[in-house]
Amino acid sequence: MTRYIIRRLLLAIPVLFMVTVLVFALIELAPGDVVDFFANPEVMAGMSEADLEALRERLGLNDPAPVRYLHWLGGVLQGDFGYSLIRSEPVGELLLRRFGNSMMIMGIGLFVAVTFGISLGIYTALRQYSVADFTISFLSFVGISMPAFIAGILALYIFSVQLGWFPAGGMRSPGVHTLGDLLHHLILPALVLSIIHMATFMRYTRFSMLDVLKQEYVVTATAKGMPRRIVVMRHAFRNGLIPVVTMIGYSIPELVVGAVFLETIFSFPGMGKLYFDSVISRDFPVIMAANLVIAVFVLAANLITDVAYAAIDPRIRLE
Amino acid sequence: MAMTEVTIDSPAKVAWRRFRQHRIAMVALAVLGVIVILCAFAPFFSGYDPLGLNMAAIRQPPSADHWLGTDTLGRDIWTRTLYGGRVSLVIGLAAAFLSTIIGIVLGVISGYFGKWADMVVMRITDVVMAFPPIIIMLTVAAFTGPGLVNVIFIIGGLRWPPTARLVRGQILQLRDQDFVTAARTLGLTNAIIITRHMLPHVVAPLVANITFAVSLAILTEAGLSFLGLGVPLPTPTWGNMMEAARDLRIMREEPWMWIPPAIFTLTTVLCINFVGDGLRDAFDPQQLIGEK
Repeated sequence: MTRYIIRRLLLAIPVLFMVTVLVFALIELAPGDVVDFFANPEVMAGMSEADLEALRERLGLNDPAPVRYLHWLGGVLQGDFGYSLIRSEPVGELLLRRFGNSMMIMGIGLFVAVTFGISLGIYTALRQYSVADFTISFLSFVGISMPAFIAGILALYIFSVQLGWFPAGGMRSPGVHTLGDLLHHLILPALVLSIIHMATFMRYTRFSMLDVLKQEYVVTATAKGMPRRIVVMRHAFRNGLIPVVTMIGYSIPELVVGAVFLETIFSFPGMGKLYFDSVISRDFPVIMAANLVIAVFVLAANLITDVAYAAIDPRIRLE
Repeated sequence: MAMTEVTIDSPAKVAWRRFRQHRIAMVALAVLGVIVILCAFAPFFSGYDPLGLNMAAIRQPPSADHWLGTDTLGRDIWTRTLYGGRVSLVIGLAAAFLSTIIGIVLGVISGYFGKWADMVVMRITDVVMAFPPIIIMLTVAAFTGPGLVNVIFIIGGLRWPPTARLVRGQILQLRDQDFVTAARTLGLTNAIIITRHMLPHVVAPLVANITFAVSLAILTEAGLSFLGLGVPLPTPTWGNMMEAARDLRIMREEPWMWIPPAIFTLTTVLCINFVGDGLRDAFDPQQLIGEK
């Protein structure tokens, strides 16, 4: 097991390296540089072309790309992501705070999706072809086809604007610092975020349970007179859950995408909104750091998923 | 002795027969047909110009003149929804086509040639997949600038990894089969072995994958345009029409501006997915065996 983990970690190194190259190369695609960014009349009134050139030289912007890449990578490895061009704040601290906010939405969303998705999956598998199974399966198909941003604007319109049950955005009411108020702001975007994942988990659990319930050991358990409850929960569910665990890990990228849209729609100060705002305002250091952090987050989730999968399913060959 | 006549249906015919039994998929196909016809022949279903401004009739709610109302510049929403559907559907098809081609080529290279080619292609796939799809597209779109062609290339150029993995898996399974070994023994070139002997076997699993790629591409375009980084106005697409909802005032007071494109997008994507689901069942060889 340890060897498997070490092997996976070693394999992740070249991928991680290529990720940093890609993150850097993407910014190189952008027209202009940091100095152009500031060279608008308000910020740099009175600066001549020669002054700008001197500034470029001082900031190292005239160095060849590989040199600038190594310079940037060196900083990143020491935890220095540079300064935001717009928010005049170290990018590291900014990201950390926003990431924490996003984790609340993504955490609640994923928790709801896992709990209800798996429960509904088991429920429908036990009642295959019933009206309830048909209805829930149909709804799950709608859920899978429902992108976060359309679900987001519809939910905002119905539950915040029309019904007035939830605030129309933000993270806290001004001047209020209670947990209840925070949850009141979190709950709608988190629930919307959970829809697509709940639908996915439900479908996987249902497929998997239907498969497992047909196995001979389930028949045996039933034949020796075990209560249905115990057959389902102890014998079938434990094995049926294995493929669902991988789905949870692999749903992380889609979770991040959903967060970008929902935080933008609900004006929630998380990493997703920060990412979108930075892309619009071309805040290069923030975009680079956010891309890198998201990619590392996804790679780590994949790694943990693979290891967890190997740990709970002894049939997986570790070679 | 009388000759028994044996007729063998082509795989496509068998698949179609099986697809027809899938009731929801058939309904979805019909609805999809209606939407495609409405969009493709938009001029027949609307007398307005999708770009025609009318300052005398801005922000009008649905009425007999304007079935779904007008937007902030007095353009007819019903008309823009139909013409917008054209753009959204074309982008969906073109981007899915592009990502499928890239996926097939890389999947074949990786699966057939193996060794270091496989290693390189799979690591590239890992890197692209480390970025959640729309995330990296936002960065690219912001730097390359908005535009129809850019959107197609961005979506097509970044949505190929699942297809590449699928094709690679299929090719890996086929590579060691006897008929491939036989073809190689006969001295056929790699190009012929791949295109004539192997790729036809990949079509069935790929068909459903392509339909899902189309619906994903439509949603991706809608998402990018919704954030203002896709197809720029005034060209209508379902995504950039929904962008109106980002204005809280419009969302609250003039919902007719963004609800129609939202409903069209959802219906289209849902129908494509149901059709894809039906196709997957229809092409599933496991289920074919049981059929007489």
